Amino acid sequence: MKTYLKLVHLEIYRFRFALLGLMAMTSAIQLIGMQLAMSDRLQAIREQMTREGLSLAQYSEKYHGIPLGEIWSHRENWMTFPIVICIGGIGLYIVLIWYRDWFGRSAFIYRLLMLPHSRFLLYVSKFTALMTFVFSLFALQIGIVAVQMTMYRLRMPDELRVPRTLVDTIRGMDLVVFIPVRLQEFLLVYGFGSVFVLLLFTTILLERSYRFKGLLAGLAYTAGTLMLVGWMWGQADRGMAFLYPSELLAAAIALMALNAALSLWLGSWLLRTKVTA
Amino acid sequence: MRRRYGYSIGLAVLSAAVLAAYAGAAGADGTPPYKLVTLEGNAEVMKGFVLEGLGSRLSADGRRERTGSRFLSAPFEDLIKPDRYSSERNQLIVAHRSFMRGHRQDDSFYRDGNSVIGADMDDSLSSVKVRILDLAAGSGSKEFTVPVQTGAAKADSPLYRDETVVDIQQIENRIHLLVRGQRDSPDNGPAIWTFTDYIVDKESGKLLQAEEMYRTVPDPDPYTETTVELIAEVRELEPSPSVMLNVKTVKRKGPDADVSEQDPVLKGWRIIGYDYASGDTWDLPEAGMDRIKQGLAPRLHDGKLYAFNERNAEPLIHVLDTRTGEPLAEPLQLLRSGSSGLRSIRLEKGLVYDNLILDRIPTVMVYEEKTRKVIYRGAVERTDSEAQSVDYQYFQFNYYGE
Repeated sequence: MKTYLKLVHLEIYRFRFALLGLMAMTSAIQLIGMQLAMSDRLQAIREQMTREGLSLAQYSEKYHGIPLGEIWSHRENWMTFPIVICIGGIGLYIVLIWYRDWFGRSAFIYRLLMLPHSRFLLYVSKFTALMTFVFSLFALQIGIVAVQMTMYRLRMPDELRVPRTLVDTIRGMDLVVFIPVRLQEFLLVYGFGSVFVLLLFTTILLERSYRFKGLLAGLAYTAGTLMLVGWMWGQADRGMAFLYPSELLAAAIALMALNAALSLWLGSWLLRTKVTA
Repeated sequence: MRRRYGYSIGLAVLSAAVLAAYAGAAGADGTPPYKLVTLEGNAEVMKGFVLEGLGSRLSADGRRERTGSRFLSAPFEDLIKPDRYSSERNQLIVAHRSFMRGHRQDDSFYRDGNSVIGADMDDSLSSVKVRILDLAAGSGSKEFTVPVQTGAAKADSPLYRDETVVDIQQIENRIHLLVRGQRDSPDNGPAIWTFTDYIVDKESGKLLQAEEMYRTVPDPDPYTETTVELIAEVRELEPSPSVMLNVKTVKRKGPDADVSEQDPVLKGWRIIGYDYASGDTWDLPEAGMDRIKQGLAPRLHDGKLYAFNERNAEPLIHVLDTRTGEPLAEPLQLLRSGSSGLRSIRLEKGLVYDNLILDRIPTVMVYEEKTRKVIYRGAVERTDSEAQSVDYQYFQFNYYGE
């Protein structure tokens, strides 16, 4: 256990600058974007009030309040761009977290593979570290929305403010795809995301074991799984399939769980018997 | 030790704390801050009905739940999304799961106390697959294929052709499959519509007769177009002795006409009735047409023709005889809605459900058609003053089943 935690720490520590960079970039862009969006919106409201000779109270009576989500939608790219960069960054690191050990300075993999513990710990620690990155960014995003709500409370006049809870605010944003408000959606998004990470891990280890042939097999395995799940999604949407949609969902979850188990076993076996420095 | 691993521990603990707080907030948010309260009458008539709006689904018995916020799991819903009367099919999915397997989206269904009948046109548009679930005998389901006569249409080889079973009825031991055909006219003029009643023996599955109820007569003028709208029993599954068609012929000006003259001009308007048992067709007489021409939408329910316009601020619900067009009762006057266009009216076996904005608040009124009495009145209330106001918010009225 101690070795596992040490390995997790090692992986987290190695990515610290990149993670802090992603966090700083996300916070800066989203908060500045919010500030700009509110300035734009308030400016537009002021101009409209002058044009129509309305007071704030009259404007509010006529056009109702402005919820935070509506302001957010005016600068949506400022909000989604950092998220896309974070997903891209973490996605890239799923690959780099392995290859940097082989191709980084002083081929660190020699030392890792020589540790007097199960090599599977390497696999699990890398996976844990990646999940820690994902959920720390998830937590940061919740924090940013809370700060944006404070900015909204401070800047938006009382007459135009629409009170919302944090959960309600997130529900009203496209952000809800990444920060689900329903447990079921959370489990699906992050459950399937985790299996995707495991599939990529398997692909990488296959490549390390069998080189080009392994890469092809891994990519085919990953693509096949994703296509099968995609097909199930399509069948559910069509509504003509023999299985009911809830049964298709259960089948998709079972398939992903099976793939997760297969990936873990294959990863463990490859590390134990095939992967060499 | 703690100092050495401080970065990782800090990151994990901080993230876990935020996630735990968020999970708690999201869990506590499961109940929407709105409820449907009964202001008058008996909430029993609202059994199975819900109001949906502001991310909430509210029942008159006090049940309330969150809606929306689903994306990955959204298509994995066994029940069809309720929209007006379509959700009645959900009763079949719940009650006869095996029979409905793979057939949720079939063209048409019919149900009476003895059987459930489903029918669907095959992809080649040459036959209809009919499936019957015998409820009385409990002897399971049977199915057969009924060929439909589309030879003439095939010979024309139009660019576009479609055939759909739009209504199923059972009269004695005969199943009536009303098939709507639509195809391009041979000279690429406006669409040709056909409505054919395929009469099938319920026991043998043999096609006994094909009665063409209506066929568009193509107008030599390419700018004259006929549109045909089916007026079937509003409750899809309910038996109905007849069906009607709303046939409008409009003339458009040619492409050379001024933009101001492009609006179509109504040339002819008929409402045609068809009696399944006798095969009789008839035109709704002037008495009925005059009322409908006031801009009212015709609906068929319980063997009667209803006519009303939900968009009117104070709609009048006319109840007409389907053959004579004469009123069967004085029109029912509904209350003035606080916001025109935000209203829906639903007909249910002697009851009229009116979903409207009354004094700014989303409200449901239920009238007894015979006595004109309001037997239920309920309104949406906000339970948390911090939540979004319900003033002038439209809540959709749907049937979800009991």
